[in-house]
Amino acid sequence: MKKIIITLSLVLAVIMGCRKSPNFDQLSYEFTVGTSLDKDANFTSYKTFFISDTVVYVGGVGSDSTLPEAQAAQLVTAVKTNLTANGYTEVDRSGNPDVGLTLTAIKDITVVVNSYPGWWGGYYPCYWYCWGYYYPWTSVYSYTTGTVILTMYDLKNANHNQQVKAIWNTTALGALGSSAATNIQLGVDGINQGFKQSPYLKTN
Amino acid sequence: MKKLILIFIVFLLIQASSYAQYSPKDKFYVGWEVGVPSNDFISATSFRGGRVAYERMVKPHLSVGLGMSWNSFEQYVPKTTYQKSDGSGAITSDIKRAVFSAPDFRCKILPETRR
Repeated sequence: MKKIIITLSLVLAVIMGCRKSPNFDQLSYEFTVGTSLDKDANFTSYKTFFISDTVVYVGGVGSDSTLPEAQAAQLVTAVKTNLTANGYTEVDRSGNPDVGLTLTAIKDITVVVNSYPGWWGGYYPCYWYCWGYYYPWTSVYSYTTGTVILTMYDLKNANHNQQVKAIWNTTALGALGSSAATNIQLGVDGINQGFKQSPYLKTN
Repeated sequence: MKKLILIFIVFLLIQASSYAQYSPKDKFYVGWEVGVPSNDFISATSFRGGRVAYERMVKPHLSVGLGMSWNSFEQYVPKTTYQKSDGSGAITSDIKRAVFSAPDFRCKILPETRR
């Protein structure tokens, strides 16, 4: 009886241990895109917008780094194109825009270290019978994730409210590759998806 | 399909070998289980499941057993936009849904006729 229980337990342990990990290869490399909005905001009441050509870059050199101009331009252009298509008009900073937008890019590197201690059994010197041994080994891998955050602020009612309220935000995030061009394109696609899933973001 | 047939044959052999251990007193079962979920989370049928069980005759017409079954469900959901129920936003992504169930760890008492 005892033997059977032990055997059964071992079989169960092996089965549970051999559980197949889900196959994540099927997942696309597109960014996951989330949007949130201030439900009290009346988006059709805003007509003009301003966005800076500078994109804050968290993960670069120093604490105040920005994305290179050419890369930033692609992200900013995507925002301008979507807003213009939805009826908003771009104005200068001094033109009293109804809403202001900021873009932030974040690069985050995660390093994972797995370490397995070696073992040796038996005694030395062994003339007759020796147990085996394993060298200790360590595996290291890293992955890089990127996030693009686009936030829209209500400037039209800032004086009245005595505060600058964020009324809409889109966050696109996912794994990055080694090509900067591909990564920026992922960001552009993320921004486009953010507007696509926000049909209320229009002037009429 | 070839893979499926191969798995079926392997489990058939395991089943046969388990019956080879049959004795009037003790029974040890190994089986292949197919899971058909009926919920909103996963709808894909799982062929990655099994069952192990042990039964012992404690009286001429009564056996007591212990069994466990498990199933590994997996389903890919293509890119979809999900709106928050309170209307405060949305999220778009493709998803890999996975469930590993091992719910059937129980003692059972079955009336059984001995030959």
